[in-house]
Amino acid sequence: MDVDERWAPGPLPPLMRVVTSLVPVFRRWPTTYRWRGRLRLGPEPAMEARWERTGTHRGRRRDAALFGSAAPQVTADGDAAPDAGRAAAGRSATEWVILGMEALLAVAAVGGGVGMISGAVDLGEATSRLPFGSAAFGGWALIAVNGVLPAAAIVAELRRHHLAPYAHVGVGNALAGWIVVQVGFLGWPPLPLQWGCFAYGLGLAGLAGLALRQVRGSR
Amino acid sequence: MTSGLSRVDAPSEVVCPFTLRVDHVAAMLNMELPDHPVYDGLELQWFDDEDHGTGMLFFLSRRGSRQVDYYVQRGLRLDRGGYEIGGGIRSWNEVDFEVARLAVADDGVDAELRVTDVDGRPVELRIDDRDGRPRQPAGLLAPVSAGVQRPTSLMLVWMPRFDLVRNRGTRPVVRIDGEDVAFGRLPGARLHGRHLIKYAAPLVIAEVNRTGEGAAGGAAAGGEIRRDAGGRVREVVARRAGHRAELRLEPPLPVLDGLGDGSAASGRWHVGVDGVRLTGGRGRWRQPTSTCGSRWTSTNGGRRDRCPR
Repeated sequence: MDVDERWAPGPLPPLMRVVTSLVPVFRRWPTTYRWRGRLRLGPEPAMEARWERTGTHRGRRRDAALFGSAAPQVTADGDAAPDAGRAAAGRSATEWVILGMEALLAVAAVGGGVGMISGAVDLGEATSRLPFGSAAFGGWALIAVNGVLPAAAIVAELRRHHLAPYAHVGVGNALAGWIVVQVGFLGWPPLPLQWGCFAYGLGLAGLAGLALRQVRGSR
Repeated sequence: MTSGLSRVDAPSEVVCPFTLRVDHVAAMLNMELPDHPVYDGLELQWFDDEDHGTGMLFFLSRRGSRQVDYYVQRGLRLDRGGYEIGGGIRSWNEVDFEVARLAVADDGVDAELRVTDVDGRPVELRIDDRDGRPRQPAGLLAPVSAGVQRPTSLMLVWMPRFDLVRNRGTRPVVRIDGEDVAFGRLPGARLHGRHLIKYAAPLVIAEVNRTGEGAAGGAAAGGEIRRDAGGRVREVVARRAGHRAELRLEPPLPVLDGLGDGSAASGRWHVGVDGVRLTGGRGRWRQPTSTCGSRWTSTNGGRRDRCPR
């Protein structure tokens, strides 16, 4: 028997609705169970059976601490769950820094992109060196690469998606790559702001790589 | 990741591979203690029924070892085996609490407890967030089982009336060894007005296919097997203290003795408590083509069977 049905909450107060939406373990955890059994028929029937975890719960176990029992949950035979300590701790400082950097990046990118699209940000003669000579195109590209991507990574992290650590690495590298491409269009030498953004991207990618190693090491 | 295989013999006239248990706790309150050097969480459970008796179970989990010290009000009848959580049972103590009260009302929770822990520290808890305004508790399936790596059952802890303690009014007091202890906090507490102190009344616990309960099926665990006219298992029902859990099969489970070699059947199943559907899934029952000399029916989700060694 495979459990494939998530728990579907009924009407919930707003706070619990937010929590059970942002922390998917509340709905999904049953689907990480399956049961396998063999029943031998005959004059003396016998059954061999066991429950198993499917493995898709990795990385989400810590969320259970929010509304779970005060006592940390572990194995039936008394072994402590590997991530039990982290469960109580929540996110690491590195993850919080990454989230903050991505939030700042997304806000700045959306602000800059909207400014370029609306014309509030005037790039002067540099506009002619942008693809299609269009500030609006550049603005949309900026929003897509450095606004939407970090926002998606933040959402993935908040939802404990297993690809979130990789998304953070992608965000950092995307920013650094964005600056390289930008300099290619606008010309050498880069402006101080571009140097700063390039370093920001590399720093973010480095932190994300560190967090990724921590996550891999804990599994 | 897996529990050990269990093997149970059963009479052949009752062949049903499913068991279902139901239990309940009258009320529960728990919290995390993020800063205390010895303990990292506590929980109160209140029982008030014929099976368990009336009284408090209080437990404290220890930081680091994750072991749990239990304090059971003298006279309560509890299955100690059901509390192998955390790092296991560190101590199980029958005590006479100086004060032990946990009452969930329409307008909040009232809890008070005074006891001395196994190391001689006085432990004191006082929470009362009642304000005369009716609350709107909600049903929540506790993710208690999400952290179990080697499960021995599918344990569904249903809290039909779950809520968080309000942070307006009397501030909750938790003191250990005479010192105030901080409890966990939710972000934006000023906005939503809640402490991260959880309570529910009641808790209904349904357990599906506990390892070690075998081919006799639901009847062995106190459940009732219901069959259709053809003898196929339609559902397993368990009742306790006014609560009802059911495991329903759609279509009904074929009569396993009647499956021919190599034949298979499949269907859906779901588990509900007190009329609320909690989860479900798919099942596949198969009689493998056997050259092993033994007849086996498997529910292995489509994997190829090997003969039993």
